[in-house]
Amino acid sequence: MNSATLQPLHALEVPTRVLSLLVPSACVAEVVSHCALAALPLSPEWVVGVMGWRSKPVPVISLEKLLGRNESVPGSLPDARAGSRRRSSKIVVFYPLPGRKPWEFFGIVSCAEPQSLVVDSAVLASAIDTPNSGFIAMTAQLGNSVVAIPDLNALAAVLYP
Amino acid sequence: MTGENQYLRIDLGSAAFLLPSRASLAIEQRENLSVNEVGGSMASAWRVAGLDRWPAFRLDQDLRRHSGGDWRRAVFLESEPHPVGLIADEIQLLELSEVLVEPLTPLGIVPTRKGHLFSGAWVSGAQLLLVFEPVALAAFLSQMEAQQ
Repeated sequence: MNSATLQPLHALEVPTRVLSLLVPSACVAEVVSHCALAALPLSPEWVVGVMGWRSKPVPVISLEKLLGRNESVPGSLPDARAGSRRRSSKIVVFYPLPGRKPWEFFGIVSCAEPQSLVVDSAVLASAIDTPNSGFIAMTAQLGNSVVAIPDLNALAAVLYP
Repeated sequence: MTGENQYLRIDLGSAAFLLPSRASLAIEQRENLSVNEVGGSMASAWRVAGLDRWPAFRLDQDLRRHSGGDWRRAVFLESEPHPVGLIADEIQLLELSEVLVEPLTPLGIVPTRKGHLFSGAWVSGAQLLLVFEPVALAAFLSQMEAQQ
């Protein structure tokens, strides 16, 4: 690979219960503590609710459910574990996806505090697998963990069919 | 009669929603409606309008059909071939100056032929009230009538 193409990328590793997402930090508006969500009737199961963020309504999704994994989602747990899980979980508020309207922020539930990273783009060239998901572009080895890199255009097509 | 600059707060079960008051064709009290006492229809009540009757549907907080309960009023929306009504536990007028609605695009597949059911929300402290898109809500209620 040409060294001129190896640019460091400021990224955020967003852990969920089934995988960690690696996203450019520039895509993320804010990381906030998990808060009460209003239900959004007639939504897909993967929409866990709507949060108020800076006086704006922001729909929040569960990546686990979007991927078809029926894991528990913080905030929806019926048992005593819900409190502690909810305290540690976060909501990552994303800027609107490419081509979307300027108010279309959305949130993804993270099971722990996301980590800021500076990633060499060579890492992104070391794809180890391409999962069977329409919006995961690739997975890569990052230190000891495997991260999934979303295809934001494909994700937009899923969220706004 | 409602003014241009108002929202209706509509209580459905444990949730409340907003509807722009300009979308309201009529608000009727229960005692002015013909209540469905025998079942056999998706509608919980009708407003008799000449030779026609406008169906009204009772929904819960998840917008699923619900029967029974101590409801008070129904708000009717313009639709074809006749208006359709949404039955609410309570309906309250809010002044626009109280309400700051921000746009919202719900995620996922559009549930009605006229689009998403919500077009905005009012965030007030910890409370968030979704705002119905009137045309889509009327289409949703008309779809219920078509399922009868």
